[in-house]
Amino acid sequence: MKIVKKVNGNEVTLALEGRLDTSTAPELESALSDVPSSVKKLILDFAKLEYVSSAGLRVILTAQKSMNARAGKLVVVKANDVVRDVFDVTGFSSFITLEK
Amino acid sequence: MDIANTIFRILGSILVPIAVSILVYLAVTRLKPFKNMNFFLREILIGIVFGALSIVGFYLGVGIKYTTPKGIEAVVTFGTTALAPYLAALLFSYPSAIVSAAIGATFRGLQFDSINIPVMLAILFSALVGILSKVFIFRNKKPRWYYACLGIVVVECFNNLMIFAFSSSGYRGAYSIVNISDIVCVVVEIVTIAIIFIGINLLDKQKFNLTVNHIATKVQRSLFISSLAILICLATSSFLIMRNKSQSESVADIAANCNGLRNDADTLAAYRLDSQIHNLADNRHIQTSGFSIIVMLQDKSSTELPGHTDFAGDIISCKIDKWNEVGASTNPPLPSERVQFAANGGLPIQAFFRYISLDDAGAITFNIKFDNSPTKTEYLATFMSCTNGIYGIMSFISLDEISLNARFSTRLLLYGEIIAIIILYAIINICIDRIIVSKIYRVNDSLEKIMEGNLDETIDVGDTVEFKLLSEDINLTVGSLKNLANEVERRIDDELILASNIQHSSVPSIFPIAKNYDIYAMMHTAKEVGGDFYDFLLMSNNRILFLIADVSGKGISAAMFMMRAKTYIKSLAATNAPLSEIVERTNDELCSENEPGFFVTAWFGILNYETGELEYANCGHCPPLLYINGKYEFLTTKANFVLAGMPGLRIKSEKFQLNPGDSIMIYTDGVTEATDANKELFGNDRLLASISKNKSFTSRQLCEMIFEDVNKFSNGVDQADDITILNLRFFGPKGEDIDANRELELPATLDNITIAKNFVNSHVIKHGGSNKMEKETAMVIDEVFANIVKFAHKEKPGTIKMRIDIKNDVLIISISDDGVAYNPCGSNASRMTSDKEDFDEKSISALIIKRNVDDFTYRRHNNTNISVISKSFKKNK
Repeated sequence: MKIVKKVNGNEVTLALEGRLDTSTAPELESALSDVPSSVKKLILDFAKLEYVSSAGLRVILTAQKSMNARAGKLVVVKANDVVRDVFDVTGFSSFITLEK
Repeated sequence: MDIANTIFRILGSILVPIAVSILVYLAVTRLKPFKNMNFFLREILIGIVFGALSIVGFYLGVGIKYTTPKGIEAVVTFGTTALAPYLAALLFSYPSAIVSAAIGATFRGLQFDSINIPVMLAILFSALVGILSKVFIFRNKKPRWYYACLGIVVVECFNNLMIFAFSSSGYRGAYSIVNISDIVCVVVEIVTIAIIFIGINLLDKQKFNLTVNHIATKVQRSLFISSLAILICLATSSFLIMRNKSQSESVADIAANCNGLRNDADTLAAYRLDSQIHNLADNRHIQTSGFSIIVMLQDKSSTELPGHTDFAGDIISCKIDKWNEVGASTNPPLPSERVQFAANGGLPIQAFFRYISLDDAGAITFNIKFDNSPTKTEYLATFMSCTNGIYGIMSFISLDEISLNARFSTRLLLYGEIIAIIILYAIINICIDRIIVSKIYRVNDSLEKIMEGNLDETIDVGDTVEFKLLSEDINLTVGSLKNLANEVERRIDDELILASNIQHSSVPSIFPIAKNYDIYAMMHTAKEVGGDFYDFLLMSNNRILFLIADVSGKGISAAMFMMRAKTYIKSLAATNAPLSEIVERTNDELCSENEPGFFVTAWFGILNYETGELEYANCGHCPPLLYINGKYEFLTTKANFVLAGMPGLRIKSEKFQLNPGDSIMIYTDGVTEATDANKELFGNDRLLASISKNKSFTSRQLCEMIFEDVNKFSNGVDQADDITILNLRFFGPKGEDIDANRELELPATLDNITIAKNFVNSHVIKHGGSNKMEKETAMVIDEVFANIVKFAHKEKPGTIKMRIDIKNDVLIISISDDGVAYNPCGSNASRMTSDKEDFDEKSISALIIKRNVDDFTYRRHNNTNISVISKSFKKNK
């Protein structure tokens, strides 16, 4: 999976390309650990993400919790239908901010 | 005055403080016991030493004689007692200065003479000046010696002012005391300070603090010159004015004195008391160094003038100058020019008086200097003869006395002015530094950061109008610079993206689905515009031409050249010419109009997908990977020269036979030359390992797997070269043997999930499943496989068997494993309601599986877990 990181002041955007599943979830985890605690807004750009599995969801949840702990915000943008479906079915869409 | 003694004392006053200061400084900064001592303890010890130095300064002082107001001669000792506390303050710190000042002042105060109080005050003041300068002006660093000297000049001026104000030596005595000694003392102290500070600088081998920077220096230079000019003008003019005033006053004074004496004498004469007349002179004194003499002009016997050391016996030998008359006169008896009475050996007193007397009772004033005078004093004298010509009166007052007032006042003025100017300097220095210079340095620092590229840096030094304007202007400038830079960047980005789009749209992205072969290609360009391309096209006689090429260079011009190459090849291929001809003519076309001198490496292949015959030509390109006889190997052949290098190239092509099931992968060197963070290359070995271990089932899966491996290897490092891969699988006229791939056995590890997914999806693709079906199937396999590995094979490794069946347009996947009893979709599929909950992977997993399958069944049989998944193709379009 390809992860492109863009920093804009206090905002970090991670654009994912490929699939977020059991084999690629560790890559996202490692990219997230590189984000400093001063960052107040974390944007996950899923425009080029094909699908996400439970392993990926776990990493996203951890990221959300960590942003909550520092009064920050996590936003998922441009998720495709398959991904949205997963978020809905698992209840993640009730607490993860999804934007177009 | 004993010259030798004085010189000895002056030398001592210089050398002793130098020695003490340097020794103490070295001891305190170099010797361990002192370095580790408590600060206050060390300072007190230093203070005691410098207090002793102050006392020694007193004993090395020079004695100055003066006359008390009562006319008694006295002596005071004038020494460099105030120097020690000042040195302590500058070299060390405030406690030592205070202690040494206390000791020195107490001692000096107890040496009761007329100046003990003023000097005591000066010693205390010296410590104060030292401490304040150190803290506020020199910023607690050691100053340059000439700045240190300014402080001691202030102290000495203060000292002398105090002597004028508070000494009990009287006005005249005070003046005598400071007359020469002030300059001598200041010079001695300046020399001492200079040697000490220069010496310490050499010892420390460190640069002194630039307490005054260049702006202040410039200002101070003008200030110094103008102050000096003003000082000199003021001092000179006030001196002259006061002296003239004194002079005319004195003239009037002695004239009045003469008059008074004459009246008295006339009165005595009227009473026939002539003998008393010459006693009158003793009764009248003009000022301390003024006197009068009365001489009986008719007296033939010589008259001595006792009591005045300027007369030797009764002969007056002198010079007269500035002759002028006061009062009416008809017959000036002497020419108004310099008159010298010494030429003839002088004149007896009466003769002298007769010589200069007048017929009338007028008065003459003149400057007179007696040759025999031990002090060489010059006097202003007025001569009057009495009304009957019997006696003459002469009143004298010394010129020094007249100008004493002027000189005293001028000196006072000078001390005051010097102190004022130096304090002004100090204040200006501090102001310039705080208000201007430090701000300028801050602006400089910010500008440096901006120069290093941080355009977000802002400057804020605006608490004065000028600096506020400067800050705002700089920030605005930087702001527009930033905008400009962003503009330019954006424009470049836009162009690059446009060019990249052109490049990407000129390579085929739609791949034919054919019975006899499976072809797929992927290209990833570096920095948006590159020189790689691939192409394939169908030719006559069941042949497919496929190629990959790499244009040297990057950027838009390389991309343009690439497009030219592609176009030539395409048009030539359409003529169905033999391969070597196609390549030769392409080469010739590219050689013409190749001003930039690009060259192209390329690999061409024509596969007959009925017979499996592969004809190929390699033009300087990397060798393809061939899958034959069940394994991968490089197809190495002698390569032709690169294209677009030289015209008229003869191309040699070769032939090879592929069997059904074989495949060939061509790629560009961006793959093998991909670098990681340690600048290591991906290399041929890794490529071979990657393609060999990754069991893949479609060309697309294979391309994706290689790409993934390269990405994982480079791990975020930006690639310098395009990465392009094309893979062609040959099935033969019968088409792909689907049944050969219906079952798969894999070790139960997480690494094998991708292979499992690809396996299942290869069937989905072959059966024409939609993209959505592919993704959903991949998700399901991911969850199921992962769960089996994590929970059924947590303790013990094992194998997972998969089998695919397609019945009635329904995909049926059977997954079995030999682990502990475990249902991969067994738990309560419950969703999460808030992000405060813990993540229950089993629940979430079950949710996803259930959502993306039409049916899931599980059973355990013979120590085997068996899951069966079914998913309809129709429903999941």
